[in-house]
Amino acid sequence: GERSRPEPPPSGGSGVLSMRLLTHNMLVCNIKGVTNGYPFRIEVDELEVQESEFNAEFIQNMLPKLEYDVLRVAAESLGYGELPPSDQIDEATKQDEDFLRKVHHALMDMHVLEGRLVCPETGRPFGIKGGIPNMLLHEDEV
Amino acid sequence: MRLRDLKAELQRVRPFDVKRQKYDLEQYPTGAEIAAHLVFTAATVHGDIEDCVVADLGCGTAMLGIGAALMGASTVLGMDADMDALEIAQQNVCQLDVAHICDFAICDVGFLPTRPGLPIVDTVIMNPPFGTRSKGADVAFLEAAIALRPHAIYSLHKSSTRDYLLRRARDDWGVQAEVIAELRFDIPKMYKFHKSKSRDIEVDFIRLELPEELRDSPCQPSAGEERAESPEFLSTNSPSAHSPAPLPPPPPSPPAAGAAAGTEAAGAGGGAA
Repeated sequence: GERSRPEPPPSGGSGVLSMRLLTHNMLVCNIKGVTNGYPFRIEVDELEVQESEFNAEFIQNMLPKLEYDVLRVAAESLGYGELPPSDQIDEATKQDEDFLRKVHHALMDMHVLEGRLVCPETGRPFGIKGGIPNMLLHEDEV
Repeated sequence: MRLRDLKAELQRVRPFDVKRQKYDLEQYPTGAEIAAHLVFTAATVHGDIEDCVVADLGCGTAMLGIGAALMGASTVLGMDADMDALEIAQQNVCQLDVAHICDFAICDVGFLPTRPGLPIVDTVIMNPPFGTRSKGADVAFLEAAIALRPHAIYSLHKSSTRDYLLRRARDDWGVQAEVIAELRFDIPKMYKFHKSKSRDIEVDFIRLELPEELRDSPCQPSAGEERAESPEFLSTNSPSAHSPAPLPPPPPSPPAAGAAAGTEAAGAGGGAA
């Protein structure tokens, strides 16, 4: 059947090593006692935007699983404010290629290389280095 | 991609840097042979890889995750507690041209920092520690995988733990579990504490499947508390937990993967590489 996975970037080669907003959408602060650890605020020191080839089916499959507003706000914090607020989205929107391309761009093309994920409740930063967020807890946080 | 092409590709995956291998984490490389077999089965027999979001827990240098990427996963999330291993993992995904599919995070599998909403992860693939160095690590990985609420989990465990794990799956976790294959691994002497030159270990390739009801329950985002405990929604007497079909007898061991002299040592257990 139709493949709904992202294509490699047109430039080919190694691609960008980074944390994408898809990963951010999943991550929560699980320090002991924290009840409002989602979503992380992103502090970005180094960002790379690299376009990857768009695949509508892939995005449509992802949409129901995402915390959409988290994606929208996170993308905006990285400088991409094109996603409409969720109350403007209906079934027709979800079929609209323009909208899907925007979701794709936010989800897959914004690469955080260096920065921090900051817990919304405690302010505790989790470093992102070389595109990898370090979510290890300290002994007293467990 | 055909199985033998997948194997050939995975042979290119660099394993752990021997100087930085961490025996507390029970790191053994997953051989290309085993990894290819695991991923190929998940993909072609069960359709659990193509177009799926796949998590590789204890990914090490990402042997399994890369296999999933090559077999058509939409996205692969590799998680491991060892930064050194993940650095090599990043080199590997670049080398094999799947960097655009793979994201990584450093985290403790016992404390997965993932939100409780509707699950993003479709499939978990992993080669967890056997629980030799750190008792219960094998179970902790299964519980962590279940807490991600994927549709299916593919994992490798010592055959000697089979009855125990299948009982836990059925009675405690409310998930279907079957032994897909029985394999024999040759684990070479890699650490000073290993006594013999190499050891044959019988390993089960296990598949777990979560009933839909467990996946569809969006929990309230009181994330912190849920993490440390066993998943609350997997209650022992849940009416939704149906008893698994009688297990097929394990198939006769295929020719010992990697155990023959001269082939690459195909170890199992530990943060997969």
